[in-house]
Amino acid sequence: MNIPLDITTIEYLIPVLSGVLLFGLLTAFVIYFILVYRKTQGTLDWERERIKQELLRVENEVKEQTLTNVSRELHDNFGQIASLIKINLSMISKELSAEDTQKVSDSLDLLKQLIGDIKSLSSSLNGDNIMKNGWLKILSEDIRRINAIGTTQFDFNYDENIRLGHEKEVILYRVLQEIINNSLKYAKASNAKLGIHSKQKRILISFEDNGIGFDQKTIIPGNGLRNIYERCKIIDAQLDIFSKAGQGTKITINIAHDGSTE
Amino acid sequence: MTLGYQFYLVLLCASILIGLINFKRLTLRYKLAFFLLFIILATEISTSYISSIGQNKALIYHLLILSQFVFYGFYYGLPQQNKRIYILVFGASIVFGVFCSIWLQKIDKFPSYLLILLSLVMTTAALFDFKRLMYAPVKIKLTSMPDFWFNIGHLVFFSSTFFVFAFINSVVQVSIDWPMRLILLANIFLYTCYGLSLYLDSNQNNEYTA
Repeated sequence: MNIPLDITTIEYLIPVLSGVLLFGLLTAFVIYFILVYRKTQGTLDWERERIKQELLRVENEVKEQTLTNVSRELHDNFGQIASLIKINLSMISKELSAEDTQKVSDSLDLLKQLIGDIKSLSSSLNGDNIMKNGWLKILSEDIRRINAIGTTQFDFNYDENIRLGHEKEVILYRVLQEIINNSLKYAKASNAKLGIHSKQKRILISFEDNGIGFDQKTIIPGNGLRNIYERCKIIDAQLDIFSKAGQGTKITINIAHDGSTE
Repeated sequence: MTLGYQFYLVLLCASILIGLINFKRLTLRYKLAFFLLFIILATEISTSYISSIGQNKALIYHLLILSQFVFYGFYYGLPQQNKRIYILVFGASIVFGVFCSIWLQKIDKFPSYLLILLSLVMTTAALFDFKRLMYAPVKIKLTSMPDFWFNIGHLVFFSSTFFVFAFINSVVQVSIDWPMRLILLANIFLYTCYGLSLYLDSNQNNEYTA
């Protein structure tokens, strides 16, 4: 039965006001929960990213240590063995016929080249060398060696004395090694340009080749490309890759440089 | 049968249909919720029949409340590390329910203490589940999480039910219509949330729910 509403009736007002209060509290709770949850999610995302970066850094250090160990082995063992072979050949060449002496002489030349290549490879693998001699010097020696082979001609321009600190230099050097190796392996380019320049507290690295390029939308990144992305992330470098099938590849790396070398 | 009640039944059936179509992809918690929906539908059909023959349907509702304690006890207890407290609270509620129906109140009385207890326990359980979500955030959006909508539905429905039946004696002296409309609206909201939860649960990777 409906009794005509008397809004002054306190017995009716209490439930109404309680209802309004209840729903107000419910709405406030839901809004509060949503806001706090989003904030917690943001914190969680930040923590995850930080841990991921830390893991990448540790993985990178382990890789560098492994490469340094391999470099030492190459220099100490293989380099030494090659030198011993050279000495032995030099000793026996005095007792041979003219034809055999020529063969030994050719072998000695090849050994000299081998010893030189082992030293260069050992040097490029050793991260401490990069610190001692400078990453640009090591890089130009690598490019000189590649140009000597003749498949792709690299044009390397750089501003002298760009020093970034050990970690960044080693990482950038490895990134550029990877880029150059990818170009040599896949691009079938006749020419390539590499430029490293300093401008307004930023280091600008640009690489370009006239190779076959690739379709960025369809290609599945291999380990090499993933390593490049991950290494650039570690040092906060901005990486941009532009490539189209038949139109070559262009890569730019942009990293802040406040003048610190730590 | 009013239009609102018919709409409520349609929503209930729609939720059941969503659960049926996606049953294999549902997690255990939402499979339990799906079974409960069947029980609720059976309750509604039987109470409609009982009303039509002029009998008291309160007994059916009391049985429904007891089964709700069982199902919701499992639903809220499953993702918890410490399940004992949930077994204790829901178990004690079932025991109280039986005791209440036999000794404290007549079995055909509605609303009963059991209903008030259910509303109180469920509102608290929903709040604690919100707390669990808060302390274990996951990557996906909050509004894409089935647990969020399920608990919102429970929070709104059971707090409304508690409120209405707590003040029912005062309110009926003025009007019986608006409390019943409020309960109906809360039901419609609840089963919309149930349907949405079942749909979202079937689309998830299930890596964050029990």
